[in-house]
Amino acid sequence: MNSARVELRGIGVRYPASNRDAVANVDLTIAPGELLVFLGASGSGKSTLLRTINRLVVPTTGTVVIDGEDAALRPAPELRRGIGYVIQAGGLLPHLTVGQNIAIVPELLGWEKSRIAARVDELLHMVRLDPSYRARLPRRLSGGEQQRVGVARALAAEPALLLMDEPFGALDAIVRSELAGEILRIHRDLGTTIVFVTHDIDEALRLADRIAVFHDGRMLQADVPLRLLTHPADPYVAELTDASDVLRRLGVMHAADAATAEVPASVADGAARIDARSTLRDALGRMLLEGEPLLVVEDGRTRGILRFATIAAALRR
Amino acid sequence: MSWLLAHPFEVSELVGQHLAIVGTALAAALAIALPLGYWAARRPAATGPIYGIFGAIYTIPSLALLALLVPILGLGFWTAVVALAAYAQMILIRNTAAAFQGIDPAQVEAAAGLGMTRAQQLWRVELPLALPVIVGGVRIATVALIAIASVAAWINAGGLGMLFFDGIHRNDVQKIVAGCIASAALAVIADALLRGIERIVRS
Repeated sequence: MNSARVELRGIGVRYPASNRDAVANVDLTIAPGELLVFLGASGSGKSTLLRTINRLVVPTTGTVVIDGEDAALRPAPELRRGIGYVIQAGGLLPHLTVGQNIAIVPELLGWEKSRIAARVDELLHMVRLDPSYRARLPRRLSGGEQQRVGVARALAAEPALLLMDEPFGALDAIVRSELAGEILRIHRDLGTTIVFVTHDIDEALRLADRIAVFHDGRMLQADVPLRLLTHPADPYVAELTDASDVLRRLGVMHAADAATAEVPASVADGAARIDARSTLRDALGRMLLEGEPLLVVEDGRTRGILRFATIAAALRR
Repeated sequence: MSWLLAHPFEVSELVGQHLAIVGTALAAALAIALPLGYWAARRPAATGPIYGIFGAIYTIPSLALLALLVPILGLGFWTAVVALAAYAQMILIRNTAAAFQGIDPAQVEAAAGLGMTRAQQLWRVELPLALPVIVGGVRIATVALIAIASVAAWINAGGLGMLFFDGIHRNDVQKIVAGCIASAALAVIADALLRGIERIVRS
């Protein structure tokens, strides 16, 4: 597993022409392997803070520490070659083929040609693009395909940290959701630490191990999705997450969290089954269609049962 | 036409001189316009005065510009080159600046984010992306210079203009027509050639 720890210590950013902090005094530690989402409206400072991590923005105050080392002490190009970076649609270089785009960082690092070629093939496979895409120019690709290439390019040199700045912002909802699924899969497979910027609360809830909410340059709260919904630390967070939205809350709770431990003998065999990792939102949908109870199973073993009442109890907890 | 065919060696020598003047002037002009255009692209405040100065030079009639330069630089090849290079500046700087301004800043930032140094960003990203527009400017400047270079014969710099001045001097219409055809043909060929290059760098 190749995953970095990132510590943001007292980060503040003020642009020269501005009389207001773009980012104000943020302290945050991102654990190795964590998928942390920066959530906020445009102008909230979330992107600026992200860009202090790879030094595209130099913080006015504070220190970025990556794996125990002050990031400011390394030359910026060298630092960036070790950090994957994905931005909104414009990121691919239009005069280079897909293969050449993916090869940029390995080339900067001086890898051998054969190793680069093998890595490009491996990455196209990882982001589920046909090997024939290697020779195509970015403009011949759909928006979703371009962004898959963007992800492959960012992962090319096996970075321990991946920064994603509204990567799916320009895509339609279906492609967006599909790519979010790919990110979750890649994160699970590689264990890379990921910082993901979005203004979309549902995207944040789906992806995040933890969400940091930003408003006017300040970080209001950093917490796991369920805590953010149930214990908002600030009226703005409550408004943004709209905690009264019950379905949204069920969307971040898992079947295993609400299942009763014991299974009455009467329901053991006939009942419909649901995976323990499914969200309670999915479970509720299934129960509305197929009736209660649902048998919660994990890796083939029964974990308990779900009823309407157990879901309601979990919500009140 | 018949004069052209009857004097192939004289004509090809004049074409050679013509191309030497235009080529040298273009090279000199590019050496100034590329860095200046790149610099101006990032400083919108500077483009006004730069365009103003070279725009003013561009409006001076070519004969008058040569007449102004002769007392300073004397007669001959290099005086013609200086005058033509000054004319080309206007076209080349505008195109170069526009070429660099037309690049999506997100692409340059992506390159920086991947870990390219400033020089790598320039050579691997900005220059290749700007090249089609720059070559377009070179094409327009070349065609313009081929036309203007005819005047260079007036200050003993040679070129196809010799045919005009000789023709006028000796009242020889054949020669004048021959000069017109030759310089027009040269311009058309240069235009086609550079269009081809433009197409290659664009794809």
